[in-house]
Amino acid sequence: MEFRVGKIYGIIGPNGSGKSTLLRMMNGLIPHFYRGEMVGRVLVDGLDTREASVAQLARKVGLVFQNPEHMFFSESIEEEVSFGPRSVGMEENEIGDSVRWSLEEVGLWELRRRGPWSLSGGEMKRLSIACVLSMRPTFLALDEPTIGQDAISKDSLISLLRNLRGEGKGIIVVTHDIEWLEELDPDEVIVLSKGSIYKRGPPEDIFSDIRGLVMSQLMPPVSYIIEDLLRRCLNVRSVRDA
Amino acid sequence: MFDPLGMLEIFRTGYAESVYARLNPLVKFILFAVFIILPLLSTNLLLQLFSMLAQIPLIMMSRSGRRVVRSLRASMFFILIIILLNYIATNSIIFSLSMVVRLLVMIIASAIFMNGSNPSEIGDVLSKLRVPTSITFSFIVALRFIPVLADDFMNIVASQASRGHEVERSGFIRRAKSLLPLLIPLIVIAIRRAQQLAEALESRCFGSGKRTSYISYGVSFSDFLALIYAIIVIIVGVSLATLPPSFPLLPFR
Repeated sequence: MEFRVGKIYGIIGPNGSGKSTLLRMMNGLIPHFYRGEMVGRVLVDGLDTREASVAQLARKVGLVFQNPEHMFFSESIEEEVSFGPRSVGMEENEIGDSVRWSLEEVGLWELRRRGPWSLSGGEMKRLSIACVLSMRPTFLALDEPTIGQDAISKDSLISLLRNLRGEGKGIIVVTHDIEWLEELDPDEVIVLSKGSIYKRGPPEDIFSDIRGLVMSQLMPPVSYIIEDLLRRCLNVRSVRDA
Repeated sequence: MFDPLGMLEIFRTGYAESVYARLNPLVKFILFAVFIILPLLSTNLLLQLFSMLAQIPLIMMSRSGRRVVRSLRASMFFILIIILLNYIATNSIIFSLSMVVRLLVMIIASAIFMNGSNPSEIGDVLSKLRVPTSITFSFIVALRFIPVLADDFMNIVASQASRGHEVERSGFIRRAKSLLPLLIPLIVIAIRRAQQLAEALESRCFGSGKRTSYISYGVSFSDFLALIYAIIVIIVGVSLATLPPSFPLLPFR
């Protein structure tokens, strides 16, 4: 499996298919933090995750966890965002620029003096992204970013991720929210099942395989289901052609 | 060497299917209490060794060998500290050993009890012993929260590691400071969870009146056997505890 910069990858699969495990392998949390045996090799920009430390890999792959509350401890948002760059030993003059850039990217620069705990759920999620972005990683990996988010927050997340893709970052999103993923318009979708790749390809190919998705215990996007139903009713190859 | 998550393993309840697990909870509690109280009767090394060996059948019955080993390994730091401090204080190697074995007996007893009991059983036993519901419930909740908090802590460590955070190895103050990014989120999460739990309990009328029990426990032949075993252990243990001071292997002879 290979991921490239400037693209958005969506990873879907039923519970226990290994989506989050895959993300944790990308920044070295597996094998450095979690117990168990790791088979195979993960290379991030030439660095072997077995040999490189998590701190080294954090500058390559920024991992945003499902629960943003797991990372906040500072009194202000600004201080919270500066924690990552300080930890990885970024130059002092660079840190200020990096904090400002990441907070502006997620639209929280105006709130920088407030405490992280005073934010709404959507803002907390964006702050957790800023915390990781401030280390200027090449890739941004997000674990279930839409959980607990309202429609507006989900929309703003879409524009944020698309912007980051435009700026040349590689985005890897693990999600159960297939409707949102369809809206995000990823470059490639990977379906995992029981720890291996069941299918990968452009979103149209993956989402139009209604039977395959259902067999993998996944619900295809409604638009694709309707299109499939219409196609069958009208007995045509493509609804658009009909 | 100091492994706080491993230490939590001692208190992690589980319900491994075994002869021990099927015993009446009160009997399990009696066995547990015997092995917690017995080593406290005397500083006698023989008594401590006996208390430890007498738990072997229980380890086998409860199939908790792996858990016991894990708990002991996690407590290594405290074991070494206890040996050292006691040796410095008393200058007696037998006394230091005795104190360590006493701790081991208690760790093993806890590991066996926790491995073969679930929190509701423990709660039922405490209720039967007329412990107030508020205390019983707090105890059960604390036990139930241990694995949850352990998982939360693991996630926090992973989350902060992803931001380049590493716990300092050298210098007490530096080390304590580097633990703050791990401890503050853990405390906040625990408080929030406690708040949510309180609300959930309120909404389910907890504390509004006398509580009744869902499960009733019977007494089987193996419960009698276990009780007889407990009585034998008490008799032998008390005899060892009251040995004359001239007997070998007694500290301060």
